[in-house]
This record gives sequence, structure tokens and C-alpha cells, in this order.
Amino acid sequence: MGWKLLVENSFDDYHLLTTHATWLDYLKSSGVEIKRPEKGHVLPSHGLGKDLGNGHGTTDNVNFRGRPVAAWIPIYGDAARPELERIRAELVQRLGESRAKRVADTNRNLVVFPNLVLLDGSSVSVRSFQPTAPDRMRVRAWALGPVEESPLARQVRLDSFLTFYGPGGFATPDDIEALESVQIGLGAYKEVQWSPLSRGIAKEGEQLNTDEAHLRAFWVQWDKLMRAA
Amino acid sequence: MKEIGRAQVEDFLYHEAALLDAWRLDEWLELLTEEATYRVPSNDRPDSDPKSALFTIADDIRRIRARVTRLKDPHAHAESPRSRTRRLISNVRIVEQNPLLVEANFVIYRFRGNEDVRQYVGRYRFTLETRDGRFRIKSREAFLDAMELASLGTVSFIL
Repeated sequence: MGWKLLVENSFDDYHLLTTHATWLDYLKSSGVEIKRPEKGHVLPSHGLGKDLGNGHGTTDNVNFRGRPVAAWIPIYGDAARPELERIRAELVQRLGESRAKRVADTNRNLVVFPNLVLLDGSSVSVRSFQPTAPDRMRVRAWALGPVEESPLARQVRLDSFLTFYGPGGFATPDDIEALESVQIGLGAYKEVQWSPLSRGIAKEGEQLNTDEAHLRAFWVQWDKLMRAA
Repeated sequence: MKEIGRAQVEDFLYHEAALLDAWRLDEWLELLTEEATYRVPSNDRPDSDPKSALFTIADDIRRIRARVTRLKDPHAHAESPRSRTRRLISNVRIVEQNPLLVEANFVIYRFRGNEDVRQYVGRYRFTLETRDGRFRIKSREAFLDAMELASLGTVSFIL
């Protein structure tokens, strides 16, 4: 499956609790409040998985993990608090209350079919990947920030990036480990022919970020294109 | 003040390397000062400031301690099972006496599971403090020579 595993990983939220248990522990021990999931939920906040058509898809989540743009958590440090409040006030003034809330208090991971990802989580990262062999790929990732940000806002954004993303982050290396382990497991494809992606398949209406409707939409599109080829 | 000699610094660096290779991470933490930093800069801008440029790792002492907590947790999947590392340190130079600035070359061979060896080659830069006749690390930077990590994968263990 190679690169397609990274697509799944990039906008699947179901793996957060298990793959990133140590990252969640880090948030908790740093004073970030992690609520108990509500009934029917796996994660501390409500979030959706959306099929955007043609294989594109996104999560759309109420944020609980802090956002360098304007949702302060203790990891950012006390000195950053007034700066984030200033940014939020500017957002409200420019965009109005509800749009500002959308920017500051929701987060999403968006897949542009087939291999471009916008991770709007602990910071904004753009990720793209190319297969170099059936079981290898080259991944490139960028940190995205506003040109006009203040030095303090930039510091918070870059620092927050490193808490999660990148080869030395507290989360991405565990994703890579999962991808590599699954790839090895897939070597048994002759004995085990299916990788089930059935979460939420019997549901009507709303699909959660921890369901797999948006992942299935990616695979359906891939399958359609491959069959046509 | 008496000048610090290279052999003393080498002994210290070898001791640190032994602790890291043995994953005696709590003892390793005791080698750090309360304000210690651990950084792995991006190798195309090695002298950047982490406040304004993206690093691979830019830990303050709190993040270093959190990193050790994470590495000791069996749920840190990237290091569970742990990497087996062997670090060779050479070309140790005292660059400055006060503050005590030390540079050295390193090669870290990393084995994990049945994977082929991964080789992390680069240069260390340490700022050391002497207190009560012992060294403490104020800052440690690891500059990797590889242009991109690519087949090295991650730097989930402490370089």
C-alpha cells in the first residue's frame, strides 16, 4: 500500500488515542485539559469526517489541543498569552465572531487527492509524498505561517509544530513506526486479503472524524481511477 | 582559573555517550543544567535561531524531560522496542575556555528490529559548565551532515 497508508494516516483521527498516547500524556502533564469523550465519541471533542468528492476529504474538529493562531494552551508559555489574545481580537474584528471562532477554535486535516495534505493541527504543515517503490516513498513537509506574523507568534507557531510534527516531534515518529509496521504486515496479503475500513459504514448522516467514510472515499476514487487505467 | 584540558572533556563526552547508548536516560538528565537546551537544527541553516526558523528538535529543559518521559514509555512506538545505538565520538576540540565551548564529531550507528543499520553522522557543539569539579551541559547541539533525513527516517532517540 505504501504511500496510500500515509494518506489514511494523515486524515484519520481514530489512531490518535493509541498511536499518540505519549503525546496526549505530554499535553496533560503540561496542563492542557483533556476532557472525557462524550457518549459515542472516542476523542475529547466533537469532530467530523467529510467526503469532499473526487477522493478529497477532511476532518473538521472542535479544537481541544491548542492552536498557535489564537487558542492558548500552557505549553505556549504565559508570555504568549496576550499575543494570542491580540490575534484573536484582530480575527473577530476582521472576520466577525463566528468566522473568528472557526479559525481559532476548530482544526482539520485535509487531503487533496491523491497525495497533498494540509495538516492544520498543532501548527499548519503542508505535506506531499511520492512513491519511489511499492513499499517506499519520499515525504516532504513544510511549516506554513503568515508572512506578517509577529516574532512572538512565529516562535509559538514553530515551537508548537515541534511538539507534534517532524522527525523529532512527539507524534510523527510514532506515525512512521505505525506505517512501517503495517507495511511489513501487508506482506501477508496472500493470507489476509482485506484491510477493513468499516467504521461508520452502517451510519446514516453525520460521520465522525474517527469514522472512516472519508478514508473510504479516497479508496473508492483510487479504485475507480485504477480500474479505468 | 585552571585551564580545562581536552582529556577531561573527552572523558565527560564518553560518559554521556555511554549513558545514552545504554538508555540510562534519568542519569543522563542529571548531566544537564536547569536551563539546558538540546537542539538539532536544519542543516541548511545550522546557525538559525529556533525562535524564527524551523528546527528538527529545539528542546528547552522542560521539553527534554518530557522527551525522556516519552522515551521511557512503552507507548512511544517509534522507540518501543528501543533503538540499539553505538556512538563514536572523536575530533574533540575545546573551542573556547570561558564559557567552555566544545566541538566533536560523531557517528551514531543505529539498529532497530531487523532493519539495516542507519548511520547518523555529524558534529556536536556543547556549552559546558563546571561546578564542584564536575561538568554540566548547558547546551548541546547536534548538526547532521545528511542533506535530508530520507532513509534515516526519524530522530526519535536522543542524538
